[in-house]
Amino acid sequence: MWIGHRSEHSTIYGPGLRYVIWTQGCTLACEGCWNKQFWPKGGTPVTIADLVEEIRQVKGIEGITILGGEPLQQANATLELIQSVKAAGLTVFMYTGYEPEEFDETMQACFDSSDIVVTGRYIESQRNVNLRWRGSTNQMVHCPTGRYSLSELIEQNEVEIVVNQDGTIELYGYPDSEIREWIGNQSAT
Amino acid sequence: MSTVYVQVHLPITNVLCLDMAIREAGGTWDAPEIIHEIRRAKAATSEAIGTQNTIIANNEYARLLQSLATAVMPSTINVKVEGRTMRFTINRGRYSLSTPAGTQSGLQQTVLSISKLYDKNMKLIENELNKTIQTLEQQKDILSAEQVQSLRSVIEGQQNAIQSANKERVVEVTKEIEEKLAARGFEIRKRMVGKKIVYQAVRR
Repeated sequence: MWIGHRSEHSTIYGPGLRYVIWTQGCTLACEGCWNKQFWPKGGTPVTIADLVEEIRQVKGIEGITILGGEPLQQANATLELIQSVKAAGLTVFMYTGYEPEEFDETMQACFDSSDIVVTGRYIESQRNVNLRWRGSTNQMVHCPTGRYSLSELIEQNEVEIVVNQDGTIELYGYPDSEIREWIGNQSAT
Repeated sequence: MSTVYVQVHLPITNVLCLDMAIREAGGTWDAPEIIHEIRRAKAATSEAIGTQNTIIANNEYARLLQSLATAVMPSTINVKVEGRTMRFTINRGRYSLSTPAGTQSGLQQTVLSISKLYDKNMKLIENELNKTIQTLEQQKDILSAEQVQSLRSVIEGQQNAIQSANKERVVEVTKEIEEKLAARGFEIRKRMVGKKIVYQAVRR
């Protein structure tokens, strides 16, 4: 699997504490995408066995979240990851820019095996930072396995900021433009 | 889509080590004149022949390092590595640059590799100094040993300064984050994950 970025602990990409994986590579090219750095092919190659072992070493997580990039453009690897992680007793939250009617058999298997899935392209004209777990109102949240329920979904604006030991900052989630600008200015003040 | 955004930093406290790290990474930067003087003085210490010349060269090296400790560094620096020019700006004791997370630019990897070389050079300088002290002590040249001891204390002081600067920066950054998020109506949950501070901010 080709990986662009990882975060061991996050609480804003799904329920509970989660290990988050940004896959590398996406050809959907949604206008206004904030993660264009994950569009090109490349990134860090990892075997599913190594990745799962790494995830298993992280204590206290409820599950993993896979986003990107486009996880379903590496559907075979994504399916193997989902099945391995679920076998380890963790839950899976997957983001995809595809609509369910676009799925092939493997993509459908990824969807069916995941506990929560957000589907659909990001559409900038429908951007809404007050949605939970998604960026535009057309994107749909599904709970295919019944492990979670949509009734647990409370719409809210979520941002996660990590301050590392050396004072460096990482920003995740759905910040408004003011917060993004402020983080950006941190380096210029 | 969600944002993934990180800041990258270069250490500044020991600019000499930063200089060595950038050059070791195959890069160049617009170093201030004192760095050029130190490069020459350092070369002179290894080229000096005889105890007396070694003492003189080391004293000059120590003098310049003392000057560097109090020198005002440029507010911005331009680092060029592998054909890519990065402009860093001073921010709380570090040269900083904001960039989206990911691997497309390779910028983070470059900065990370420079930071690792920086840490390695800090240890290297320590080792060099220890070795020099041992050599001079063997020659029972007490005065020179004191000079080198002084040189080592400069380095140790700078190492401590790095740790203090990091702590100070974390305190300032967390205070600002809490103020900014609260002012925007976010509920904040703060937790420690290992040695990281994580803010989860929610606004309904």
